[in-house]
Amino acid sequence: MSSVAQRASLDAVRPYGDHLDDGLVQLSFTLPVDHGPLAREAALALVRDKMGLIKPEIVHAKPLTPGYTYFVLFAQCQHAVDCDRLAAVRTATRAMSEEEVDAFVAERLGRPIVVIGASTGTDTHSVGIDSILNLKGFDGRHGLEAYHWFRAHNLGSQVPNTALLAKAFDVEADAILVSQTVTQQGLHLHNLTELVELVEAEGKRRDLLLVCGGPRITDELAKELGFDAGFSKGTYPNDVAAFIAQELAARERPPVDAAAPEL
Amino acid sequence: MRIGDAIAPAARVALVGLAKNTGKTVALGAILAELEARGETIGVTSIGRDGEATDAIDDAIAKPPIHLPPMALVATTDRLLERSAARTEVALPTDHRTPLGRVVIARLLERGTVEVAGPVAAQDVGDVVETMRRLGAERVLVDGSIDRRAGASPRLADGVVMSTGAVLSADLDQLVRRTRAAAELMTLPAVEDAALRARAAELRTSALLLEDGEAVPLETAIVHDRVEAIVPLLRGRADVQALVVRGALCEPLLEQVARARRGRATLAIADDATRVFLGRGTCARHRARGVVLAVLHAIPLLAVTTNPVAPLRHRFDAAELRERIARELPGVPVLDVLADAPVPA
Repeated sequence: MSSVAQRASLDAVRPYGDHLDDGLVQLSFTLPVDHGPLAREAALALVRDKMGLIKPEIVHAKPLTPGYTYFVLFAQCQHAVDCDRLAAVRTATRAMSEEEVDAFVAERLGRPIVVIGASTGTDTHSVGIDSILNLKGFDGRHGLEAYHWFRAHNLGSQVPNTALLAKAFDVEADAILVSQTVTQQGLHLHNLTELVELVEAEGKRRDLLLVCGGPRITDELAKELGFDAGFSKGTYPNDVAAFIAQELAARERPPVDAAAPEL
Repeated sequence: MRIGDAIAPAARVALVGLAKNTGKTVALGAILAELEARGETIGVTSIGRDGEATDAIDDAIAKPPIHLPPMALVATTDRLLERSAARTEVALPTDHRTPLGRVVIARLLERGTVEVAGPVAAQDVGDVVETMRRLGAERVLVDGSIDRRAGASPRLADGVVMSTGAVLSADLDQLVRRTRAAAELMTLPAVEDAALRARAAELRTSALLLEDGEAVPLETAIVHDRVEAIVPLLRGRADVQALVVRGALCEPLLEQVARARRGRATLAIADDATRVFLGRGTCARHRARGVVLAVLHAIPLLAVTTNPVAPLRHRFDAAELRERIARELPGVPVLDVLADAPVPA
């Protein structure tokens, strides 16, 4: 058993080093300065004066090549993050394995879930959608194609929104999954909102779960775009499957049973 | 003219931005301040969640918080409300649930900030708008995120305030052109011929309306995917009065219609402008090719707001931008709510 102290509330979470709330962080970076006292002073000043960290300590400094020095430092972070606040605005999905998802769908829905996915517009990256939908999946976890209670259709990359929608109607999809590489300028955002608007224009928004994913897509951004959820790095097929299954089950339940506090 | 005057004719007002960071939230803030000064009871909802204090793409861009006056009604979810610092009461829980919890209509008991989060589907937002009206909101604002237009549908709103800004283009001419094109799309005219309008409104599916009163139904697949299949249906027919699309009317279909009709004027009718999707094309370009767009329900454009600043990128002269846009949109109040705002005491 772990003897690490557990905090009751997650409203002020700080990095953990030696003990709770010490705020210890480790940094590594390279400065384009010759190894020596000046480089060390520069590294400390950068961390202490510009990064919002206190008590920086150099634990490793190594010349890389003339004119460059590599550093590893410890420092203390003074800030905390409110995890309760973040949790409140996140989609609450219970983590489930492939087997658990299948069992849940069998019991709660009693019918297969139809999912259609694509990388839309001009986006040629299909690796995200492939890893979620294709049989092989990734990192040893099957994609949705392998699930007993999922019917997965992968349309591939560069799929126009209209074609994706037509196919979704055709297969009577429960959920549409879109993979998109959003750039810093938000270049592909319009493509994502357009899909939502198309679904709205067809009067089908109530009937379809919309999920998007990609390296820069957060759950928060997805909701702002009008999707039901967004997934990014660190997402496995079973995470997406668990969300879809649980959300569909919640929707099929009459609203009076919704897990809402007494009002 | 002030923005409060511009929206006066509409009890339900939709806010639509042409892109992220066009100043829609600032426009909302200005409207709230003016309505509060007039003593109006205000309701605010959005379609889904309209994001948080920082930009979801670039956290170096801070978003202005929306301060709601006391007694204002706001659509949010039970979970978000629990986290709100403002003193509120739940005026009415709704039957709409979102992944962030059940949508509730809350009433502010003091000035404060509550995260706005309406139902996910526009149709359900319509219910919330009506409920807020019943609960006493004299004016309901429907805030649309990013560049979403669904809130402007006449089913939800009586008029729209459109926000444009420098973020659309670093080239002022292009920014003006794109704003004009978006305004033209938003204000597509209603079908003039009352009989034709009535016939189109009765249709349950997309169809070609013929002059003899017949309707040739169109499969959904033709409208969205296999658009070339409309060409043989149109070729050689002189008796097509209009193409009516129930649902999304998209550019690829319009291209095929133009191809089939070879310049003959063709009326393409959608329910309302939020259901018309033009990619690179503009209404004017389709018109030049013979395809005239019209709608069953027109959307009044109440005002256009201009934002001269593209965050972290470039900026234009505020007065010049506003004047250039105003020149392109005669009859539409064009306002820069920050430049026009009285200096706070």
